[in-house]
Amino acid sequence: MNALLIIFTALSVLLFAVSWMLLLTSRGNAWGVRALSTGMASCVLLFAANAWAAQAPPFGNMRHVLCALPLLLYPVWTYLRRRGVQATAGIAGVATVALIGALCMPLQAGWRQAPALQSAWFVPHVASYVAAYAMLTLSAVYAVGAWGARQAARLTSAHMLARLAFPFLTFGLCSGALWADAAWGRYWAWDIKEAWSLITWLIYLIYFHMEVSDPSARRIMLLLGFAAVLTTFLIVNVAPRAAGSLHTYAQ
Amino acid sequence: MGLKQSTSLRIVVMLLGAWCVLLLAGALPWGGVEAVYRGGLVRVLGGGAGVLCLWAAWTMSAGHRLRMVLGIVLLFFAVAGVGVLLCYGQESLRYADMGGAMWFGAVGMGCLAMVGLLFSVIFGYLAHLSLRVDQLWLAVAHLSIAMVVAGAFVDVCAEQRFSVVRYVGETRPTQGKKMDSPMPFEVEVKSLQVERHESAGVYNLLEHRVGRWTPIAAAVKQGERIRCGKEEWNVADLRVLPGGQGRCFMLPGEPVRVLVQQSGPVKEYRAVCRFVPVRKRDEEREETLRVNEPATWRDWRIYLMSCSPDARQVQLLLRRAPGRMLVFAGLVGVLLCSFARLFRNELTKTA
Repeated sequence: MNALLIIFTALSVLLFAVSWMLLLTSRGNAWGVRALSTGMASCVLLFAANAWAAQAPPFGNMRHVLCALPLLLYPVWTYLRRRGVQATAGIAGVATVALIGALCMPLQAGWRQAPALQSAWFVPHVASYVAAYAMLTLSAVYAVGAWGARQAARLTSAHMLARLAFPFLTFGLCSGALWADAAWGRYWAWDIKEAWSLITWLIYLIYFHMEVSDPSARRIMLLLGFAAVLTTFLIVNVAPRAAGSLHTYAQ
Repeated sequence: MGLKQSTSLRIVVMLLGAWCVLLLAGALPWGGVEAVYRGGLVRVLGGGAGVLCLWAAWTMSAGHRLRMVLGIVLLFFAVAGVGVLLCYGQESLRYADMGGAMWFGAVGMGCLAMVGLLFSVIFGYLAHLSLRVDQLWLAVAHLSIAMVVAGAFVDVCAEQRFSVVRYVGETRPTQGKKMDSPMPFEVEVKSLQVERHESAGVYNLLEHRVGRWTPIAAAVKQGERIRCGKEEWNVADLRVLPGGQGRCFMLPGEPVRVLVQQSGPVKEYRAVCRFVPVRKRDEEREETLRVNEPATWRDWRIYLMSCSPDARQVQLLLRRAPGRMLVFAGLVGVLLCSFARLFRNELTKTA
């Protein structure tokens, strides 16, 4: 089973990387989209293999989440194409980086769902956060790439993605509070992960309240928000304080 | 008006920024001071945020306040419909699972669930019609955040919580108990069931030394063989040790060494609890507690927090939080409004 998980992850990485490279060259557009679609199909298989190995919805640790991230980018890709925004290369890039991250993490094939995770909130809570993080990553990619002639268009796309992600971020925060009330007997415990997810939410809330018109200020706010996303998702898990966190099973 | 709005927004941004700085001070992965969260400044800023949210809701709904109130009432009915759908839908599935004559009950419950669905669709649509005026969803979102803040403040002032440890099967006297006790009832744990996941194929190799079994190494199952360092055995050659609960195995031709399969992690635990009221003993009742499924006794909620590894002791949390429902109503409001706004502003647009 472990070999199968590694093969599917590596295959998906390869397909997404090929797609990314093809999409960055002007001629390989159609083949790039095909490679991306095949990568998504491979990712579905990887998700199914993870679910089979874990005997539960595979959202239990960081590797699971990184493997599911490209799948949640698919509806975003469809939506952006409908809106006429070209985000295929960005999506391929984000999916490649996410799956390389998954390859670097321990397999944890023996992971089993703890009693506290056996809740109806488990899948919607984690999936909404993963969807939000995927969109915010893409938004940050647009914000970084917003230079020169394409600055205005890319910043508009980045803003649109942030607006699209915010309700999912809100859902993650609120569903977490509702779930915590049932599982831990309190809807807010000032756990380090909770505090950082609130910081992330507040940064985007400030961004939406600021009505920023200056491009560089807008870019800074979006990148600041993304830094908070990275801290919530990655850095908090490796910090010494994470040992006493209520979210230790998310590592 | 433009200047006024920008000034108010500036105040909001400053307040949110101050909140962020305070949260950062407490949540820095290295060197964060968690005590900041319990400090008065967080509460003062929270109160300020609540008041600002109320003020924002008031300003945004100007000219449409009656519509907003009507919309909130309709939203309440729509959410109640969803609650009916979930409750009766779950019961319907449970009855259907029992099979036989219970199918009639399942159909009845299913019909009630459908009524809930109908309720939520009709009232949801009416709420959408009522709140479709620009900014009104945003006003309700601000009002909802104010509700969350208000509920949290009520809980900070009036929440009661007690952590208690009970032995399984232990009976506790309630007669003659002093009435100034914070809890109007006593909890006894009648039984505890612990279910475990399958073991991941990890074994301990034990050797019989000076009258006792001592662990000497760990072994791992790989396919049909169990490996321990340089040694390995076929699973088919192992014999189950009598009295070892199916987890102890004798090694072929070795009377002094055995393999013990490690038990898997806990999958679920359930405690059957009896609640005995101090005054009216006829109201005594039994409930099965699970993690994520607390029981309710009047305005108290009883949570199963953990159990000891030997499954003889249970830790329970008893809690009364008067502001909880206000917080929940606010959270549901924030959720609905953020998605409604997304739907209105983003998803209905075409290229």
